[in-house]
Amino acid sequence: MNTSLPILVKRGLYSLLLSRWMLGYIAIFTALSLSFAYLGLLGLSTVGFRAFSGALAAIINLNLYAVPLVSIITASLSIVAERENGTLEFHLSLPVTRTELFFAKTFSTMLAISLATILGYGLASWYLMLVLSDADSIVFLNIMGASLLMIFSFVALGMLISSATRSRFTALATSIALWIFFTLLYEVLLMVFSDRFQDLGV
Amino acid sequence: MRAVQLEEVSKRFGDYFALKDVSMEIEDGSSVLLVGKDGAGKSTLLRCITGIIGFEGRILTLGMDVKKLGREVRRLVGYVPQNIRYQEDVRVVELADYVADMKGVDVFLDEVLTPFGLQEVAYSKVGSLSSGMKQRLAISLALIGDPKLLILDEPFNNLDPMARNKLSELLQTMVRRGRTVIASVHTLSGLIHSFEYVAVLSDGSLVRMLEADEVSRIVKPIYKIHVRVGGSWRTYLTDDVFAKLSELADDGYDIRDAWIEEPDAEGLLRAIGG
Repeated sequence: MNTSLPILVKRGLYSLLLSRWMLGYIAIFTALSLSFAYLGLLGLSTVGFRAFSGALAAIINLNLYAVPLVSIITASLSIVAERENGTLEFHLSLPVTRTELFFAKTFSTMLAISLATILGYGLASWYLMLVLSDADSIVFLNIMGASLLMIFSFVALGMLISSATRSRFTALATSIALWIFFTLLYEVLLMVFSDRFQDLGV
Repeated sequence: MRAVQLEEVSKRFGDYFALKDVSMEIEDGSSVLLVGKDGAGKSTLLRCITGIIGFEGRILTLGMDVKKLGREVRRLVGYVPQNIRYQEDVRVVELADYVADMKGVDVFLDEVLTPFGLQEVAYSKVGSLSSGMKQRLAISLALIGDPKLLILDEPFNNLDPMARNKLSELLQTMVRRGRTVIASVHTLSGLIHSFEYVAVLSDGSLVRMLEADEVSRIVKPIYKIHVRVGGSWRTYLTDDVFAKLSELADDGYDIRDAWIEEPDAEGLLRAIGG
């Protein structure tokens, strides 16, 4: 099929990876995951805890909050910002359909954040490899896989917001509200309801 | 063959009709100037012809149904949207490469950038260009791939007189080479003579399509010139700006500053009963 999708994804990826936002994310994520790995191994092993668990707990916490936030915000601003800036009209004047443009934005955002996250993990894992057992490595890879799935889900959610909203402000507010719901409230609600269901014998 | 064929095309934004049952045909290799006041529906019509926005009715552009083959249409059409904006941190050459890639053509960047004097800013970021340069860039990018149909929405905006002349020459060359050119303007300037036909739009309807020579017979463009003589401004109406300025100078007026308002489409609309 004759499609402009690869060109659009390549351009989107290039532009995202060179953006200040993404470079900042890469730097912060890498620095934090490396610090957690180092401090986790250093501190907790001295007081008797299993070293890897400590490092892992800190990295999981970083993932649970930072990865969804970056994913949903980057994706939710992708289309709406171009619409507001007036640059969307330029893309649409070229041989491309709106559907292709939507998917190109989705794929390039997923790829860019995944690459940035893998880079951050990669450095931490290189450091952890010095002390990890085989079993620990598998756990670490599982968490990395789960992070990628989380990126895909939140980017998809963000793209939905970006195509449905008319202003950057609305997109940003909606994405932050959804991030709060999924990272903070959802867990609490789940616990409340599961407790209720247990009480009711369900 | 017809380059563009519109059959009862309507476009509605909520309750507002931007286009109302517009039907028209544009022959292959001709040049048409769309004239109308702001809000007449010119930009909407051009966006429909390129398939950028949806509409009711039927449009065949270069023999293709725009609703089904919009992407293929845009591969063969060069389109300059009104007040186009680009990502500011991209270099001019990167933008030209991107457009060439999207259209699936190989281009020599010099060929693209030289006609409008952009070779010197080839490696500059788009954000650093002036409005006039951005407009020249938009026209240069639209010419990539030697389009069979060139559509320009208010192309003369932000262009200096030299660039305007260059564009007029280029449009005439394109028509001589058998290309079709459609452009929109909201003022009646001397540029009408660069086109064969003039289509007049008003309130989303096509009022009339007439030959450019006929327009000159019906209505003579009247320019409004504002001249600063000493410390005060005076306004004159004239159909020949240079003659009027020379006349004032000959009369001994010390002209410090002047600006010229191009005649809008209202006179033409009145003359043809629109």
